Amino acid sequence: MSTETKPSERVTVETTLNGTEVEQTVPAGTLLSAFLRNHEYLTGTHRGCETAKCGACTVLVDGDPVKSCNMLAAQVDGATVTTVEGLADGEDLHPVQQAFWDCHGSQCGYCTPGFVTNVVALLEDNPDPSVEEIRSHLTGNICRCTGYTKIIESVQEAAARMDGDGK
Amino acid sequence: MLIPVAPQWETDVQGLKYANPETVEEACTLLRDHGEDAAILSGGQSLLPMLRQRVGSYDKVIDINGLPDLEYVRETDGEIRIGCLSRHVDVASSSVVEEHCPILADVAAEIGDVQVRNRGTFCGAVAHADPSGDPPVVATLLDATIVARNADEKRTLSGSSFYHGFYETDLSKDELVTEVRFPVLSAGEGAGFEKYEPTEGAYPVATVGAYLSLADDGRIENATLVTGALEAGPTPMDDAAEVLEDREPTDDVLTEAAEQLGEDTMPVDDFEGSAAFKTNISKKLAKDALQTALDRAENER
Ligand SMILES: Cc1cc2nc3c(=O)[nH]c(=O)nc-3n(C[C@H](O)[C@H](O)[C@H](O)COP(=O)(O)OP(=O)(O)OC[C@H]3O[C@@H](n4cnc5c(N)ncnc54)[C@H](O)[C@@H]3O)c2cc1C
Ligand code: FES
Ligand code: FES
Repeated sequence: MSTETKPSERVTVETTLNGTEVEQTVPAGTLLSAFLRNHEYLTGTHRGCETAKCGACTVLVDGDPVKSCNMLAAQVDGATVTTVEGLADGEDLHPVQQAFWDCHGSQCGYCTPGFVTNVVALLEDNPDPSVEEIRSHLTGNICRCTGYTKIIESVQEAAARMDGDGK
Repeated sequence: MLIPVAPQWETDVQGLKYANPETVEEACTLLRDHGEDAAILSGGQSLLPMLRQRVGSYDKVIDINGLPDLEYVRETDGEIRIGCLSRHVDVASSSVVEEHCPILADVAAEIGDVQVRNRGTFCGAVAHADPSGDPPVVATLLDATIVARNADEKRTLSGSSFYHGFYETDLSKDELVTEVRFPVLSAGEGAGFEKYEPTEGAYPVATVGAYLSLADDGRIENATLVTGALEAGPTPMDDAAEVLEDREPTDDVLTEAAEQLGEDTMPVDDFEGSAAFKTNISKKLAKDALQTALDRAENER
């Protein structure tokens, strides 16, 4: 996007989204979560609270987990965005997704995309986290179904399978 | 492709105008021209919720994330300088902070959750002056220097007198905070910070920051105590700090000061707790913060 030296009502967003270059001109007030769902039709990113409290909308921006309901789409211009749709390799689920599947880390699934993306970032930084570290990393993600135990087990299982090599 | 699209009002900030200047000069010019109805967007972790809820009167945002060379945490001339684009994570993991002013890392590492810390900026939190915010407490406690610029001039403001109640500071609408500086704590000085949050990741209900310096004979030379979240922002507790001055830092003396802080603080009853509950909590936080400050002062940092 060219820089706007005058405040403008529409912005052009150019971003690498799940490995693909995309470019769209949208109203400046478009939230990143709305951009992903309503403009890119990537509905894996869920909208829960839309007040930055539940983490269901978590995506990776330049590798860092952020709440996409708490950012403007304009802010990812020039950045790399990864949503839950960008994790699998074709038909093969990402090891974190597979571990959530195998360990029942997901029940209704509403919170799952946010947890999975956040966990992918955790394991990249810390391939062998303690239960304490997992819990603390996931404070921004709320799940009303699982009671968290199965989620923690899924993270530990994913960490063991990925064996510290991030894949 | 026929895919239902949510109506705009549902998920967007209607009518918002956006600018992303490339230089500090450009940003300041925009603030001069639009300051009354423009908000600065740094980490967005406080601004976005406000925009969505239509709190505040702005219809424009000035995104400062593209300004060059403002992301740093470094030590220069006996001060730790934090650039306005450094995030809470950067402060929490800085080796300079760890060595010279670890209280800043204590504060930054406990703000919200990892998603919030990845975006939110330390300087933004200092400027935003949320009454429950943690960085304002430590900016008051350590008398940080706040560097602010507008289109015409640059000035420095003193952290100990910067805050004036709910979201009120010495900044004017056309000013951009480019940097906040904290003192390097030297031998015999120490600072500690404690907070009580109802659930992990939530805004705190009570916070206390404590600073101590020790004289050569081991007595307390200077002491500062500041509470946050209990009243309308950072509140210096001078009478409690006075209890400590020129005394031996015994457990009883620290307890006496913490009790005094509890006597003097004036929280209100609300959904997060009764005033009596918050008062009790504040005593415990004060005692723990003082103990950390003392341990650090005695360990020469
Ligand atoms: C779920 C959640 C939990 C949180 N928990 C805590 C917590 O426990 N403790 C805590 O302290 N905070 C907490 N926060 C807030 C967080 O610390 C914010 O990062 C911070 O308050 C504002 O920083 P920001 O960079 O995000 O500012 P923004 O949201 O971008 O800006 C807010 C306002 O601050 C002012 N401002 C920002 N930057 C500048 C600047 N450089 N110069 C001049 N003015 C500026 C402007 O008026 C701006 O509109 C939480 C936020 C969320 C969403
Ligand atoms: S929808 Fe973004 S945090 Fe709940
Ligand atoms: S699986 Fe239902 S909310 Fe987490």
